[in-house]
Amino acid sequence: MIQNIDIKKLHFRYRINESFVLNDISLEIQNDTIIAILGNNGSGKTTLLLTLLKRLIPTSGTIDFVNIDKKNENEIRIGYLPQIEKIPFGFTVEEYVLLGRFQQVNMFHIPSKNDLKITQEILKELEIEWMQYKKISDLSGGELQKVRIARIMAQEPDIFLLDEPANHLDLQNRRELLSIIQKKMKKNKKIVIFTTHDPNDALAIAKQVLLMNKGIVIQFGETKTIMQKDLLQKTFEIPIQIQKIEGKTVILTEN
Amino acid sequence: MFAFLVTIVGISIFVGRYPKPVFTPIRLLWEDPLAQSLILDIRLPRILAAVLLGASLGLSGYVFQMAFSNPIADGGILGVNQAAGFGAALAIVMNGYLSMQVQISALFFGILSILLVFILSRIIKTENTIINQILAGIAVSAVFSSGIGILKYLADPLQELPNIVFWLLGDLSSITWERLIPLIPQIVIGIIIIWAYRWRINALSLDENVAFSLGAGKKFEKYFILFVAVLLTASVTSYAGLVGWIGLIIPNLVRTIFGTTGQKAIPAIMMIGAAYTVSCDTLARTLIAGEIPLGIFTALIGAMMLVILVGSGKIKIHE
Repeated sequence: MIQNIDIKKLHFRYRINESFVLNDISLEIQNDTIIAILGNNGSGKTTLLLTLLKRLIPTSGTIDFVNIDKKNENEIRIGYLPQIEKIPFGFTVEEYVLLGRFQQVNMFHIPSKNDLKITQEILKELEIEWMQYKKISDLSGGELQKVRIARIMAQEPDIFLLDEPANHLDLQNRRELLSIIQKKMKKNKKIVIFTTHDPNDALAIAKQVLLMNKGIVIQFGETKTIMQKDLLQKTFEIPIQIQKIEGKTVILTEN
Repeated sequence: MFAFLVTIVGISIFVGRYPKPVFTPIRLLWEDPLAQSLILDIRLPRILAAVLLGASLGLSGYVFQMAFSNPIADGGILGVNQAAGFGAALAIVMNGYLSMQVQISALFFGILSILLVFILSRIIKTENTIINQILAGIAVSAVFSSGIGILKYLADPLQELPNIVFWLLGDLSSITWERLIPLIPQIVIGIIIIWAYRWRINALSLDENVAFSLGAGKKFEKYFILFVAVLLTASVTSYAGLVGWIGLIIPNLVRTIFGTTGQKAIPAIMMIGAAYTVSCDTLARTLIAGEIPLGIFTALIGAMMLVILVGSGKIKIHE
């Protein structure tokens, strides 16, 4: 189990001579949390996720996963949900979700009964077992998003990295997806990190919020303390209003 | 499916122009030693060669499609066939028909071509990765096709040239046990490796970052399975010449009937690819008194099937 993630003086740029996409980021992330990364397009949200995935190698600085079971770093499972994912060929929902078990299946082997069982349980838990034989290409946007969430849950990762999971969803699907992340994903002291540009998504489910602007961390902390007018304005570079409607905090942009 | 393949092979053994046109009566086989030796020494190795050819080209086409997540990738389109063909022709021109050298040369240029496709598809930067790969494949296959052209020009017009030309059209007429047997182990091993890989290969087709997070992004694994696919293509190309379209059509046909995942598709591709190739080759040797090159049949039927599959929306090229 991951105890915490230590990020120290993280810098990243895609090419020498270009400006830094991530500029001097230092964070300590404790487990058992849901973190929303808030920021405009191009603020470095996705790049930060990809450095955590170890897909991108930091230009300088370090990312350390501190874990209790003294697992080798390579054994730490990190699930990644890209914003846009091309799923080629006519895989069925079940076949695709089962691919989440890739790390648990040995080379030259096929999935075991246990892998199939776990896949079935997750499909049931997300109430999508009725579509298990449907082709991915025949799903609606909301259905596809749930199937992709099922795939990442089948991986049973220590850290979930979700890039704009609620983007392009209608209101009902958005609510349902956020509640899946909150109630079903963050179990057993896992770390869930998702990006969004809607502060209301963060208010709805995030325990902590990371505000980013042009590769720099504006602020990181508990959601309630972070959601302040001046901090959000600094993050999004537009006038912002925070209002209470029937006891619920709502964040609005000023027109 | 296996029964289907066995039936096709069974029929093919008795179909031919000797001792009687079209069908060989079993009674004659007992009486005619020439017919016996014809079946054992000519027809049987040829049919086995066709079985291995169809299974190998079908499987390597499927591997290329999964590894490049591109439904229309295959040895012909990526230039691997042409490169292996060039390698084999080069060895023929330089040394004559020495099986080992033809083999190694075909494999070497096959690997070279897939590396070139990798590099070129990074240099060509359109928005669409499938287009990038196809363009890279067109360039690579053009290079090796013109290389083949040069070899034809240089070849001895009386002996080597007719050999090369007929062989380039794809043809199994010169197959003997002596030429086929040394190739069988590596082809069988290649097929077994791909079969053992039938589930994990699915993950290679996923989004790059997703595959990486699943631990399937390791370059080694992808390169290894691509190497096996090139090995299969080079091995069969070195005895059969350029037989096109099987690697493109059979996997796509199987995908629409049996499903995409390798567990279902790979056994089906082996059986149907083999049955299809044996059928085409049987037609090629029996239809007229002479010999029609096998590649002509597979290309004619393949082109028609491609139009049907794409036209009916069975092959979808997403991006």
